[in-house]
Amino acid sequence: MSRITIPLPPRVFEDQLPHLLRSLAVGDGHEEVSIDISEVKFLTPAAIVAVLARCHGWMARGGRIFLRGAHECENLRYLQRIDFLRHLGIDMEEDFHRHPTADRFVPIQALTFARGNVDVISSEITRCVLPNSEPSDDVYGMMQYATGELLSNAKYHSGGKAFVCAQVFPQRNLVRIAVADDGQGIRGSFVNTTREADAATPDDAIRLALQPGVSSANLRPVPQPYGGRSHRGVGLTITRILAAQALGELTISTESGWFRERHGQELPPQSPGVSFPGTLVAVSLHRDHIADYAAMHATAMAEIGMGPLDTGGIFGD
Amino acid sequence: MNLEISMAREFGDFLADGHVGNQFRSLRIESVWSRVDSVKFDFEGVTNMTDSFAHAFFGNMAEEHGEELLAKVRFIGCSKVVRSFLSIAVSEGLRRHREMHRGA
Repeated sequence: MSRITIPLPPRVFEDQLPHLLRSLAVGDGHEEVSIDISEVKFLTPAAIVAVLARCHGWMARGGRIFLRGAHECENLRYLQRIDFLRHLGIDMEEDFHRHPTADRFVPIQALTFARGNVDVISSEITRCVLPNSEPSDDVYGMMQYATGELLSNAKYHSGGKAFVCAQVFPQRNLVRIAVADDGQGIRGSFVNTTREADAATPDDAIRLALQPGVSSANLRPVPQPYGGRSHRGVGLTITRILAAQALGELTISTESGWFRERHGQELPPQSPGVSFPGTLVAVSLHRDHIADYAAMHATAMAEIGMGPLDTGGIFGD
Repeated sequence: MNLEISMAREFGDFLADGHVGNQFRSLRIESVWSRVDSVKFDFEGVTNMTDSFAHAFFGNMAEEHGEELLAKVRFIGCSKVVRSFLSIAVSEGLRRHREMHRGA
């Protein structure tokens, strides 16, 4: 019986993600993996869903997951509130009363193929992180859009096995959303498509997926159910542009591929040896830099060469 | 025959999932398209959508039917945001339709 213990680092923001992903990779091939949370003080949503996705991947292959150091963990209550333990299948007594989490974080949600899943979870996340906003508010619309696009993509590329969560950092007016799965990875989604050769490496696959109009779902030679295109391949591209306009960040990790952009500027690669078998996408948005959602969206569409033509009188009253 | 679809009743106030939009288009609209004189999509109560949904539903329709869509379809009850999504999705679909039928 092969066993290994993986100590999670004390603090993981996006800067520390490559280190975390490398640490998690050592669990591959073991029958029992213990996740040691004794030192954990803070995990960003990307870190939380990455750990969960990896654990579920090991479990799907027959592995067993254990938790260590829970009683020494300063962050235990938070990890319980956000349902991290529950999604690991670990039942631990809670010594606190759960109260509304609005404006601070959204408990982890599992994406499934159920109809309405994407719409409902996107809206729940948006309501939680923006409890004082109305659906007509620009910041609400933008947040809901970005979450909806991320989840719509993740749902189909993960086979309905992704995890999502979000956190708010009120002092910085920052919202972080992350979704991760242990699926085929972005490169895997281009296999047997007409663009497979352009996605030869994980890094190439990320670049390809970020190109406007490219969606692996549309490139398959076999007819899709219902005909037509279920994805136009602009969601991730537009989310990237919106994040840049909102002075946010976009981080993507898949296999050994890594992409990170802050304020629209790509950050230099920093991750030799990163290995995440599925796909991890994290987006952050500065709430106070979202002024006019409709205008920002239209600008983003124009940036990728999509603008409205004269559609005549198609709009009635 | 005239169709009127309340989008909020069918999908809620946020239209997010492209696969769901494409499925509805295929099963509920395309299946009767040749027999209907007009289709009215009512967006009253819809506050937001994704590009995935807009393109999967209305971009595909425009690509399939081209100018016939402009003659047959009306969008009503649209907010500024919804109107923007629909304009771009329909425009893109029409562009693709024209490209496909150029010289045909």
